Amino acid sequence: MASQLPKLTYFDMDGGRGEPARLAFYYGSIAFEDNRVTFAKWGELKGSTPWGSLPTLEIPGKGTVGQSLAIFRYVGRHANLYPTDDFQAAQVDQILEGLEDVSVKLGSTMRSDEEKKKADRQRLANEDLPRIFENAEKILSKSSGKFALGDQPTIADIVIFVLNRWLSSGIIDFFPKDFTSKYARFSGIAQAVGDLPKIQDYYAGRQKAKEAAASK
Amino acid sequence: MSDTPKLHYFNISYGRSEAIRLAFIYGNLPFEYNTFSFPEWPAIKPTAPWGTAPWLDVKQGQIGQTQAILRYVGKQTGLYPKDDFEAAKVDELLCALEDVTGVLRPIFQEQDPAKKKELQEATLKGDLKNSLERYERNLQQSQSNFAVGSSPSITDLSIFVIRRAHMLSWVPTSFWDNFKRFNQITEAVAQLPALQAELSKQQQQQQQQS
Repeated sequence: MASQLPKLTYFDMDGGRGEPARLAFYYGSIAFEDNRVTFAKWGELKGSTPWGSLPTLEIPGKGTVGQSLAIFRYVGRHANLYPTDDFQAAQVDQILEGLEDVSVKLGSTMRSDEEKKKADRQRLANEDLPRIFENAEKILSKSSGKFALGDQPTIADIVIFVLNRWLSSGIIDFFPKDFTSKYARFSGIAQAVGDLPKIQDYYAGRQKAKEAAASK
Repeated sequence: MSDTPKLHYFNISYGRSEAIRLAFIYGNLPFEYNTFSFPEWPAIKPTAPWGTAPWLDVKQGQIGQTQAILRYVGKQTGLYPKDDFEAAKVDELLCALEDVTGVLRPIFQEQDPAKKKELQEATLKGDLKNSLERYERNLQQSQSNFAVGSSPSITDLSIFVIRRAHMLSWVPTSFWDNFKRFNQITEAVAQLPALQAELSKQQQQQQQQS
């Protein structure tokens, strides 16, 4: 029998472009099928996705949605993480879209050879990304409160959290892991999201799941 | 800040502001349009929310990022679905358009005419063909002439702008014939009663300039 739950398909990693959707579902206490794909299995799956990419979201009775930001907005609306006021929603949108460039620029260096990767990532760290982050910081500083729009979290804050985790993880070769520490609002928001009980719960659950899988 | 929304962009035609302009016009929503030249841009850039154009000034503040602005105006003018799933499909197709226009960027940036022509030909046979084929596949689902559901959306406007962009006049019409839905949506937008006055005006202005 076909699943009656929304099915999110993304790589089996605790981060990346699908992670904000997982967190949004969990934050909103919305049951969903967390379809985690290994890189090995991706090859056979790719052709059947709408855009040759992940994440995808299958909604029972409706169809499939690709493109991460479209998915974030959809889940965000259901999880009380997306404003109903049009101007506030636009503030969330501009943060999502402004930060998208960061993932795109860094993502484009993934498959380069070591020499080019190092040169490109150093340029990103010293020039391109500071421009984006300075602009983001200016916008984020226009509001006060724990999160981007005030004291209520939105999907923009979830994206900031996931992005910050990645940039600060040290797993990006040739990219300084203290990069985001210069940006007080950005870092502060990431911290505030990390402190949310639901988010802490989520990663505690993930830890348990990984331990259980490892002990099999 | 004034109550009338004010859109800011470069003084170029059919760039990132056009779909937004058409959305305002479609909804008969008054707006001011402020343009500037590329030489003027460095002085203006610090006043733009993301250091990029377009941006929109409204009563409550500023909105940067093309899609954010387009979605905001779309919601005010009946060009954005109320249904969650349809809204997600509009968003998805709007996002994916960036991949189509993205393949064209190296061509815009190439200054040498010979290299530019080479790049155009290669892109036509390669990246542009591939990305449009994939886009066209994703447009098959709708039951109407529009991209999503049975009424026009900001995605349809964006498709129209790309198809009609003068910057893409180097693409032969025969190439576009392969992309029936893309063409069908463009035609459907071109026929919208609410856009006739504006589109006629644009056509007249173009004729005067040529």
